[in-house]
Amino acid sequence: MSTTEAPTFVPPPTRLSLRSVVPVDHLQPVRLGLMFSYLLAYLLWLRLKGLPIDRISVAISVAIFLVCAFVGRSWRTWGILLVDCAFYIVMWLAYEKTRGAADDGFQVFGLFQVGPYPLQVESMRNIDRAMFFGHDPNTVLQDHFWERSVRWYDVVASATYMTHFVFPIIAMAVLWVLSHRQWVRFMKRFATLLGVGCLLFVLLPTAPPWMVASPKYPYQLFHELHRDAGRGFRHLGFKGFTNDYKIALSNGNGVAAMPSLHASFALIVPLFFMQWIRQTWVKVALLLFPITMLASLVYLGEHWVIDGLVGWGITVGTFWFWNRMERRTRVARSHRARAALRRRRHRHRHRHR
Amino acid sequence: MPRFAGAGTGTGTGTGDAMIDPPKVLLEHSFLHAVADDQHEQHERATGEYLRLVAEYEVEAVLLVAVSDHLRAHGGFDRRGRFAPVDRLWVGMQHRRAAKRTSSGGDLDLALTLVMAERHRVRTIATFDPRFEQYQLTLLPAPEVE
Repeated sequence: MSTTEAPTFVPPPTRLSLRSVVPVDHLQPVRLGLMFSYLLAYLLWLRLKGLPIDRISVAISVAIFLVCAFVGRSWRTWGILLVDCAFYIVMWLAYEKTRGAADDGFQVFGLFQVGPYPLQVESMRNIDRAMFFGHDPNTVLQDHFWERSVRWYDVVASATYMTHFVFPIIAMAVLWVLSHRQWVRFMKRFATLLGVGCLLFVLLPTAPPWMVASPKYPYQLFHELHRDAGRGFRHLGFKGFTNDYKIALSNGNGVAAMPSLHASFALIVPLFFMQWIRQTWVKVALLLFPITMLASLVYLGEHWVIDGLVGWGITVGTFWFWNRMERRTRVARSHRARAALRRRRHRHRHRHR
Repeated sequence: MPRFAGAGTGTGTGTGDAMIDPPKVLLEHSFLHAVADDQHEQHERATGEYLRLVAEYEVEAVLLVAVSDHLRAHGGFDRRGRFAPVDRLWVGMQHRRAAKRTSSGGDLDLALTLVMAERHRVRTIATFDPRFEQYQLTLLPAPEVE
């Protein structure tokens, strides 16, 4: 072998791990510590003060968590986070406004009036009665199970009902931290669900069971229902709700029963996370959650069964739509890449001829 | 020289699998260059491998990524061109600072690729640069059988 030959690259006998050559991100343990501390503080707050359920309080809770999770990240990451937050806020404000305007109708850019559409008082009840052979599920459940003292199923129903206010938000925050790509995928489905929900609130204002049974309203389709969704939760020693900001966004709409967003949100989270679960029994266990939610909603007099079923239908529909769109995007990008490479090859061959 | 093929099948190993995204394959500068340049001696091989990766991307078995600096040098972030399926890993100041402190024999470009691979949990790299063989990474394309 000639000594003037260029030196060949000889790899070391053991390969180096990236962690051993790339400087450690010293802020990673700080972020984890902050997130863990915040979680403890949140649980303490929940125990002492109650569960924050209004949009502003929940948004503030998520914002603090995200600040903990993004300490020391690049300015660009923070910029993306701010854009995401802006989208999130606009989405909720649009939802609140539409929901609030549903029973009075609203003007579209001052050009024309949409709604109000006739209030559905009996139609959903009739569908429920048709599905349950002439029985009203709400009254049947309350007549059989509602007692003066709080029973274990009151606790289950109440706790399940409460998860609506935090469960999807926790899912969003976790996805935000773990993978922005997955957060975007989740938000596409979530925003579509809210959008379709709002559209139905406008087109189909529906009185919930507690309203058509209440003596305060002129309907009284059946005897008065007990309405205390928080009693099982309070029975556990929690204070119930903290609702301080509700006045600031008091666009609540009492006739927004169709579709049930409680039922939809209870399905969207398990359905989204199911893609990473292999065991069938875990999948089945996850699907028990939306079923428990719908049973709780009916028992607590908050929704008709059909509201929940339509909510589930919209949720499944949004997954079908976005799964299809995402597949189409991947296929389109792949085709573009192949076509571009083919064009270049063709030009290359043409030149060489 | 052994190359470590097989992880591009989408079943790869490493920390990336613990995350909720499909495994990422980083298209390194030399690989992007070989795909983009018709005159490159490895062009045919790189294109073949790239088309295989695109087919895996299409069924969401892998995500294709490239360091933004490298992608910019080969047609930018065009979603219509040959690198349409490739997502960029944006290089921030903190990544450049980390690259300066990375022990990679003084090559800043190599160091930057290592930093981005580590921070984004990439365990598979498509490259023609032999220096990557000293790291615990799965390298593509697979070695040619003589």
